[in-house]
Amino acid sequence: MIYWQLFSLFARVSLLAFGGALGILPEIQAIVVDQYHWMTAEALVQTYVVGQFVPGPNMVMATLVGYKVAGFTGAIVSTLGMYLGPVTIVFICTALYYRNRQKDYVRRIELALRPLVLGLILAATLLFLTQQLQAEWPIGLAIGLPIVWLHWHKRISAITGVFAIGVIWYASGLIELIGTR
Amino acid sequence: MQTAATRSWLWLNFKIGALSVGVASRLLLFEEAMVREHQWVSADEFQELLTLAQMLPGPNLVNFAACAGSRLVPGWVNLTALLLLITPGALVAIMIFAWAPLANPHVKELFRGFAIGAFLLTARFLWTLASGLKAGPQRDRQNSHAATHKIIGRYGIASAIVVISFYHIPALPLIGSFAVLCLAWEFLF
Repeated sequence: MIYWQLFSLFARVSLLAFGGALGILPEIQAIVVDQYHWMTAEALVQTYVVGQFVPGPNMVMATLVGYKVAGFTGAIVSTLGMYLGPVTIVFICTALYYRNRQKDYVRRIELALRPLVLGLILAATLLFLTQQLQAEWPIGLAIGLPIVWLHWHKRISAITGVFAIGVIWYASGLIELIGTR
Repeated sequence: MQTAATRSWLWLNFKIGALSVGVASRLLLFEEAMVREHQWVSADEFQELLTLAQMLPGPNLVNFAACAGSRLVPGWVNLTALLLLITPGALVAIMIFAWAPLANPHVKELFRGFAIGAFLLTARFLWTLASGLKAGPQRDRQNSHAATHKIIGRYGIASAIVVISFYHIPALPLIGSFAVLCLAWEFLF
C-alpha cells in the first residue's frame, strides 16, 4: 500500500513538473507533509537541498522521500514513479519530432520556444546564485570569474572548474575563520 | 553528423550522473561532450533537443538525456545510460541523507562551494543558448528588418521570464502563458 502511494504520488507530480523541481515542491509538501504526515516540512526541505548538491538529476528528492518513508524499496519505487512517465513521454515525442522535423512549422515552433528555455535556465541560475551568495557575492565572483574565464577559453573542463571553485571557496572560508580567531 | 558510440554515451551519462552538480552545469557537460568534443550534433541541434526536453513534463536533465539518447543511440543503450545517469546520484544522496553530518558547517560550506562553482560555470553555456535565439528560417533572413524585430522580441521574452521568476516560481500556468506568448510572437507578428 505504502509503495503504491509513493509510486502514484511521484508519477502524478512528475507530469506536472514543467521547468524544474521547484514548481512541484508545494504539491509534494501538501501530500507528504500535510496529507500523509510522512515527514516534517523541515525534513522535506532538507531532501530538496541535498538534491541540489549531489551529482545527477536534482529530482533525487523523490528518492530521498521514498527512502525516508519506506526504506530502500521505497526509494526505488519513488524513483521509478518520478522518471517512468516523463521518460516514456520523451521517447514518444522525440520520435514524433524527428519524423516531422523537416516541416517548416515544426522548426518554427522549436525556434519560437527557445526564449522560454533560455529564460527558465537563466532564471534558475540567477535565483540560485542570489540565494547562495547573498552578501558574499564579491568573494564568489573573485573566486569564480578567473575559473570561468579559463573554462570559456577551453583551458579547463567544466568538472575541473566546479571542483576548483568549490575547494577555493571552502579554503577561503577556512582562512576567514582562522583570521577571526 | 554522426551517431554516438555506445561506450562514449554510457560513459558520458555515468560521468554526469556521478560527478556533476547543478542542472545547468549538467547540461553544460552534455553540450561540452556532444557538440565540442565528439561533434555528435551541431550547436543548433543541441538547442533543438534542449527545447524539446524542456517543453515536456519531468526532470529537465533526465528528459534531455532521454531525448538526446533517442537521437544518438539504440533504445537499450539509451535506457542503460539513463540508469547510469540516475543511480549514482540517488545512491550518494541516500548515503548523505543517512550518514553525513549535514548540519556541520564545514560540510555545508564545501557543498555550497561546489554548487556556486557549478552555477557560475554555466556562463558560457548560457551565452551559447542566447546566441541560438538569433537562428531563424531562411524566409526571415531575406527580410532583415522583420528578422531583427523577431530576434529582439525573443530576447525580450527571455528577459521577462527571468524578471518574473524572481517574484513568482515558474510553475505550469506561468510557463504555459509564456509558451503561448513565444508562439504568438513567432507566428503572428
